[in-house]
Amino acid sequence: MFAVFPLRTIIFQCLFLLIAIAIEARVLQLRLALPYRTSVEYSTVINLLSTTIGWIAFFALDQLVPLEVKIQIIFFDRWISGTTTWIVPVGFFTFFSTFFVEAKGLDLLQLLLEVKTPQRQEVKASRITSSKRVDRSNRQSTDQAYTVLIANAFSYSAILILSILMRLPYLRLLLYRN
Amino acid sequence: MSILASDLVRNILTSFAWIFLIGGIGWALAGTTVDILGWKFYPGSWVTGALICLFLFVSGNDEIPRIAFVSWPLISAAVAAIPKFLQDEFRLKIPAPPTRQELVTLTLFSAILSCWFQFHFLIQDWLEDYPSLLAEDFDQSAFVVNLEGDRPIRGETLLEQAETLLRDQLENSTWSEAEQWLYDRRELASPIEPATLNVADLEQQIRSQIAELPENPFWNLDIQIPPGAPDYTLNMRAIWTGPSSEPRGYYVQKTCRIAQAPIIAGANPTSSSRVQITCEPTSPPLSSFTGLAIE
Repeated sequence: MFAVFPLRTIIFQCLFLLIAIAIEARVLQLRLALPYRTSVEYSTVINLLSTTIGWIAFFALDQLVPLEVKIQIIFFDRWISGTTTWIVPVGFFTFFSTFFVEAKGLDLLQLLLEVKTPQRQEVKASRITSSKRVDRSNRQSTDQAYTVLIANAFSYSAILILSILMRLPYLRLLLYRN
Repeated sequence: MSILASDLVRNILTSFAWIFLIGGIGWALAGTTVDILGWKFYPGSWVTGALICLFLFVSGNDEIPRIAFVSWPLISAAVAAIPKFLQDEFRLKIPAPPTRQELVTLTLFSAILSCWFQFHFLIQDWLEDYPSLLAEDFDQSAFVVNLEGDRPIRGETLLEQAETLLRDQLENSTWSEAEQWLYDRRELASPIEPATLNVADLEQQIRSQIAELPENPFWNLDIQIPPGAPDYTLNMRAIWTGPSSEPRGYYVQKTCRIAQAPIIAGANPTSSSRVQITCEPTSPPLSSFTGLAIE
């Protein structure tokens, strides 16, 4: 039963997750002025969330991809020529849906943790007009979403660069046993 | 039959036994923590979770079903989370924000573990449908690893069956019958290609004898008569045209020679000569493109 085991999937996913968490935590810490530990926790949660939802989407869409294509990609790391046209749209879709999931996830997490940011507290306490109140909370969540977008851009770039490096022949010899 | 021996009572007693066992072990191991790199782990919840999965999903001596493995991380997370929801004297409480953070991280991490297990089972499904993939080299794969060295080639079984069928058809016939059989099936595709035999019915028979799998259409049987070989040498090939690390597929080959059986001195001279078939062992896989052995 355990002859063929997705060990490489697990290792690569752990590697990419750690890198993504580290990079996004740093970006969150810098742009949102959060303490170190909090930014790491936030980053961990949103990355795990997007990975989980990615897996669920994979299992859901699994039926749509023909078996031939799946076997070639997963077992032999070879793209059949017909599938290369799908890579770019799928890449876009993946990036933006990850961003969306992470941004919303961060909002939900802060809601769950009853985080009181300075702007939110100020909005609740003061008696400024409703339009200004809406403005401030909008701006705060826009800032946050923009930060998540930048964080995602950095982490995706890092993972892309790493993947390309791993495909170089010399490094392949190092990583794969014979 | 005493009432205590009836099935219902036995089931109830067994269930209670399991529940108390799970509760006891869960309680006993609840405090144990393992410190790795500053993160605290609760191995107790994993053991308890495993027991709960066994209790819920495994019956008798059947094989452990997949749902047990796939739900194990999530159930363990639930077990680890329960103490956070309880106050003294078993009152429910909503946990404070810092604990919520831990709970969310724990749940998501367990969800990913479950996804990994599910992916493993998905791959096992594909391999069941396409067992010939086990014969392949997975070193290029970014996803899987072949932990066992065993790489069985289904083509060998197919050729053995072809050999048996050939022997059945020819061994007990006379030499002229055998020659006639071979002649009837001979097909000359073109002057430059070696002649082949029409083996559609043999192929059909083999297909009906082997296990019915989705990968069967990718196996084809071919019999060639190589030019220049001594009479009636047949190259039997089982060709794999499905997904493979070889771009054009590969084949395994078995060479059989059909010759006249040597006449035993003193035998009845009017009996026609018999057929003798000698076959060599199956070759290692050869690439369809180059004809050379793979790796």
